[in-house]
Amino acid sequence: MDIIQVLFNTLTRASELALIAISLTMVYDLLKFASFAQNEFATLGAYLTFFFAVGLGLNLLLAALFAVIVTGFLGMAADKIIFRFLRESTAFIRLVASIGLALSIRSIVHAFWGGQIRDYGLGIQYPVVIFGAQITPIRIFIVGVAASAMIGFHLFLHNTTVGRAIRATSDNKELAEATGIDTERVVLYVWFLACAFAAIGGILIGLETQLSPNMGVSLLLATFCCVIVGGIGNVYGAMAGAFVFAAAENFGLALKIGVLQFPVNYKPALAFVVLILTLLIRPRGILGKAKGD
Amino acid sequence: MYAFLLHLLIMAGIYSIGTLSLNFQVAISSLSNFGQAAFFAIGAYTSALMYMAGVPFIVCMLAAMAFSSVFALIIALPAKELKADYWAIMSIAAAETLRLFINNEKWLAEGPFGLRGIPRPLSEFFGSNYTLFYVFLVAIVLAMVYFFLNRLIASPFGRIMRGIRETDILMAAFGKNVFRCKVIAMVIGGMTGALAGSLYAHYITFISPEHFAPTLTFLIWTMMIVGGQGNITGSIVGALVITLLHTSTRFLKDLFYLPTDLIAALRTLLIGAMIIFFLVARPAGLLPEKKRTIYRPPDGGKH
Repeated sequence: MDIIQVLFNTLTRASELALIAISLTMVYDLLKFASFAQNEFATLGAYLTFFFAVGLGLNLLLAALFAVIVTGFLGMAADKIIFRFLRESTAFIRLVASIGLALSIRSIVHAFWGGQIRDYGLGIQYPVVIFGAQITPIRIFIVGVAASAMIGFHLFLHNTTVGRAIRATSDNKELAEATGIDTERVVLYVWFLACAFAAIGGILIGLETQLSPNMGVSLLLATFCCVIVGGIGNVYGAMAGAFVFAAAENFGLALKIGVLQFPVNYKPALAFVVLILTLLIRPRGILGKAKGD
Repeated sequence: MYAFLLHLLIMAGIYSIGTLSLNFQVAISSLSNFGQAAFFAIGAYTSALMYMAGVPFIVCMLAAMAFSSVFALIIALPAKELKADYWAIMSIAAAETLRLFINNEKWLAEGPFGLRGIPRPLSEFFGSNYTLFYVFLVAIVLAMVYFFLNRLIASPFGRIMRGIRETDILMAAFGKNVFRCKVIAMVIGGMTGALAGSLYAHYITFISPEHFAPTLTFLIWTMMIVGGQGNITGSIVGALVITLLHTSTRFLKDLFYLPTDLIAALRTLLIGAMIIFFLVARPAGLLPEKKRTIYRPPDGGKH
């Protein structure tokens, strides 16, 4: 096992997953439901980039920027059209509604761009060798983008008025309202941010591999696993969870004890195993709040 | 047209059984099961494999129910500790793991290629009228499941389950074992779900892991929501309406010359849009649950 290689693979995988996991956990933190739609917003972001870059011929970075903003606004629209009416319903009804939204987004993507596999036309990436590990430049770019997005988000939450309003509302909605925060607007900001983050995650996955209508849903269990491992509703937990999950995946597959090895064709089941272990050992996750908190 | 009508009735009947099973778990017993496709899969694979090995059809169905109830028991166990949304994710993960297992273990049932040419029971007996016979077979099974669940919901056990749904702490205070009741409800749901899977396998005669993807679970959820959560007659109505919409999308191909790929996408869009529309505009469904009023005070309960 080449430790540097596995570590770098873990870092890339964690970067992609963390952004979608943050998206999921943000919606959960404020609106108190597990949204199945965030992965589809990732798919949507990736395809919108494809549309702007390959369809309209824009510069890839500019196309990605447009796609992220458009996906953010579509997230706000989803709240206006669907979730605004379900504020008083149980969390479970909102969860089911998010499944409806997820199916709708996926089928719209499928209808517009077809089921075939697409890519951004970057061509074959030649790896550079760093400390004996084969690393493609695009993956360094992916880790860099994800890291700056996360640091930017941290600074945003702690140093801007909107960021403080978001934290206040997620802590205690009534109290936030009493201090004059328009919580309905905060909800819209969170939808924008969450869906924009999901879009970045989707674009990064598209950069590394390829686009297909099922790219988001195939990561559904992995994303939920990251969020639960890290502690649902906690943004930093989502980052930690993504890293732990990616490490479990990469080290789990690379590890060989004698003849014992985790079968590669059961890779998707690893999410399930990690999920079960977390729920058994520490149900609230690494950074989750204790019961009754 | 006649053939299409029979096909529609059979599929609606099979989905009705699955929807009844889900409705009993979700709306009556508050078990947010997202692994319904796994019960279908177990029912379909057990029944098909055993019937191909020469076991009588009735025994195949019973075995399907038995295997499915074991799976239901396993996924019900974590429900003791987990919150509803955690458990929902767990159940979808369990169903996906089972699908992965069928997909990878090629010695069991041909893996991703699926089982082809599953024999139809009594087919030499009915010959060309076989589809008509199958309509009756599905109808009989559906009627049995319907009356069984109807009696069960009206029984003391059904009352306890609805009590748990409303306030589980109160039911625990009455000395009811909430967890045990949930496990029993899950097992009953799993057994009825397997029946639907078994009927599906012998009608379609081809099953593969693709058939039991989460989309099937969501399709059945849509039927339940459209029909009305908690109303088991509604489940049959919901299954009929959604099956009609879902299967008639094939006519779009001939009417507007749409490609098959696009039809598949439109079909999924229909499921998604129906879920959203009903939850926002009519959350109780077409036939809302009738809540029995046991005692109404003379002044209309104004105090």
